[in-house]
Amino acid sequence: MGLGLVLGLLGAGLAVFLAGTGSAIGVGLTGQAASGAVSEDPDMFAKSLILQIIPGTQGIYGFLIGFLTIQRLGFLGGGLASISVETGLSLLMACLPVGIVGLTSAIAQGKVTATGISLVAKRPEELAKAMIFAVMVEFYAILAFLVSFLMLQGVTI
Amino acid sequence: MAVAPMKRLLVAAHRSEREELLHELQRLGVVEIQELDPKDLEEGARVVKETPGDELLSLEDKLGEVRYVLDFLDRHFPPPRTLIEQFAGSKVPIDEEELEKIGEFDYGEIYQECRRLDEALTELNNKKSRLQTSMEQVEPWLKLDISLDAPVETDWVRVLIGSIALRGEVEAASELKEAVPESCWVEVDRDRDRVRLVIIIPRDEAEKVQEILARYDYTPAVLPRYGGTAQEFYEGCQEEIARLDEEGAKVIEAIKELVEYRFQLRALYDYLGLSRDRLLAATNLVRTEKACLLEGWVKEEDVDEVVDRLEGRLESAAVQVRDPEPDEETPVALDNGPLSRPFEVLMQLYSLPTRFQLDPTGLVAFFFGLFFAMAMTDAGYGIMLAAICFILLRKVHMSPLGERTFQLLFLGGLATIVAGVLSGGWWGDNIITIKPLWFSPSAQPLTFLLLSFGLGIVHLYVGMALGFYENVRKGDILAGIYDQVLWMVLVGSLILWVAAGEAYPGLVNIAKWAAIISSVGIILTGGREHKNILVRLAGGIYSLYNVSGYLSDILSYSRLLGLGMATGIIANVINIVAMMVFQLPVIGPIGAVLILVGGHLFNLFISVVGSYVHCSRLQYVEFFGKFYEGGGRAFAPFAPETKYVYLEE
Repeated sequence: MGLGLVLGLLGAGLAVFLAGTGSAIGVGLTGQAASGAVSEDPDMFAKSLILQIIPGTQGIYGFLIGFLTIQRLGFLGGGLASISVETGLSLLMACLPVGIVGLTSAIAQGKVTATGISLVAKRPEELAKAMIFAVMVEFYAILAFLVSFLMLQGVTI
Repeated sequence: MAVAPMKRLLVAAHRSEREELLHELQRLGVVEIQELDPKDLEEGARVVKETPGDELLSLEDKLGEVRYVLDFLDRHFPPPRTLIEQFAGSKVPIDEEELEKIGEFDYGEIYQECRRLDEALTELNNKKSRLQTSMEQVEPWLKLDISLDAPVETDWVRVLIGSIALRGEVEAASELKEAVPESCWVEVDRDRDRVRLVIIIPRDEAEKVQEILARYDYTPAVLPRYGGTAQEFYEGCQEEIARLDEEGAKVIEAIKELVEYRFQLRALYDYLGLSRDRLLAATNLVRTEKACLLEGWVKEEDVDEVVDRLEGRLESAAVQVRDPEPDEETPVALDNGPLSRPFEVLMQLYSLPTRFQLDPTGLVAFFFGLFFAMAMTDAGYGIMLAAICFILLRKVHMSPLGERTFQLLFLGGLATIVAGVLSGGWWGDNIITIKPLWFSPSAQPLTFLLLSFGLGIVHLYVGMALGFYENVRKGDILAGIYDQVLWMVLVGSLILWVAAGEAYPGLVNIAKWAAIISSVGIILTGGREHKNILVRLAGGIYSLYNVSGYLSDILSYSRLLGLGMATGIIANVINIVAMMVFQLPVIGPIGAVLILVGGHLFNLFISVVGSYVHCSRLQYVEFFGKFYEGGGRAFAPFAPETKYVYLEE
């Protein structure tokens, strides 16, 4: 297994690891707030769940990029690809946007959704507004995901 | 696509028919009652405000009691609620006759019974926790096999029962032996850090002994007075607790028998609530000795029905209807066709237009549906979404807001099917491969991006055109030219400049000059609210900076590509994983099916949430930012508001 392949793997790992960590923190923050709200009003459960899932998307974006990278490296069947160091580095680069922006935006978004929970606890009819605040942050994760995906598509193996 | 025209309604009736009048209005649910002030009426002296008084107080008391019973029952036997019910609410249908009958329901006995059971439970729990405290105190002394009420002091000796720290044990014993040789030291028990002792000493040496023991952290035992050993006491407590638990179970059993009245009590709660609402509404009325007067707003389309019903069913009612004054603010209800009506939700969440503005719901409906479909781009998910919404709308009784939202999602699902057929997405594009009618976003992401930008630009231009129209309608055509037309030219020419590139030098030239002229126009007019020429120019230059705002508005539509591709990629990955699992022996097929169903449902859920919210944002920020003011007060008709049941027609 050549260095290029290792670099590609490193990229896939970073995408999953960074974005996943961010989502875990964001979802965790929201979950804490949600438990508090549900202890006051058990009917908050369904609404809290929707808010809690929002910072989880970065982890999914990271997972997707990681998965597609592994697939292109040939780990999912079809034999390992033999790639140069440059190609491996390119794959690593392609993974960075979704990883890094995923990490930071999921944490920031988790804070927004956690406070969104208390907003919805006080005014259950304002769920949509709480979601819109959260989605303002989501946009940047989508952009990063998009760029990672386009970069990944652009690298020829 | 309009703000529904409103009429002002005036109703005068004999006071004896006040309750009938309000009841009829509540049933109709189409009139917003306005508060009247006697001071505003001409014959102020004879007119006073209607006051419901004691009747309202007694109703509030009853409501409190029924609430208490319901809370008490819910606390011990929580009613089961599904996730959907938590989200959409669940009310039971009931017809008015039945509800009237339940209004007679005598809950007094149940209330007293609940009080009694509640007190009994509290009493039992108090007793139990007292017993538990004593048990905790006795627990370390279970090996003490003397009667707990044995004398601790006689004429000659004193018995000390207590514990010292384990680490000082040897020293304490030897020091005590030395100082008071007659003392007797009996160990009862020990654990990790305490030794529990019975020490028998001559009574007149007590002070000396205490002094020594104090150095070894001596703590006297706290034991109940009881004619038996600690073990016996402990067992006695256990038996008593078991007996209390049994009694508690009987009480719970008794509560369980009351649960069967839950429905009646809930309906009664709503019945009383409706009566209370009528009394509260009555405080908006004014009255003389014999008559009462009510004013309110009603949609023009409902006027005839209201007038017919009131004059038909009330003997004394006299109804008058007038148009609003030219500059009078009315509450706002939107009036849209069946296809765009669900999208009124989006307006409600943002802000309603006033009756002097135009209602953009129809355009919002069109663009929201378009963008929602682009953000989903998968026919399979469109089918699932439309089907789920259809079933929910059929099966669950929802609040009007919930109903509109699901109707909106249903239409969004239909639009998504179209988008999916065009782009070839059927639960991803790697299991079911149907050739796209147009193009596949994952194969041509750049085309999709340009399409997003293009539709975004159309969206923005429609917004600017509406802004121009609003300015013209206000009579300020110059503001329309300065703030909208110049910008439309500038943004358009800049886009043309970039898009035409070197291929069409003639077009570039035109675009360049159009951009320069409109920029100069904006610099000259952008700061026109300032008097000073220099400040005005500076303001104009600053307002030209808004070009970056338009740029970021256009780029914002790239989210459609991101969302649309994310849906497809996630679906494909779910399929790949399911295929990999499928090859496993034995559990393969089942696992694959579970992953496909669970995975696609999950993806549907997050895609719908994401698309809904992102598309809302495109309306609120990018679109409304160009023309919309809002600020209308929502029409809030006096209607039956209930918690548990809803009235069937």
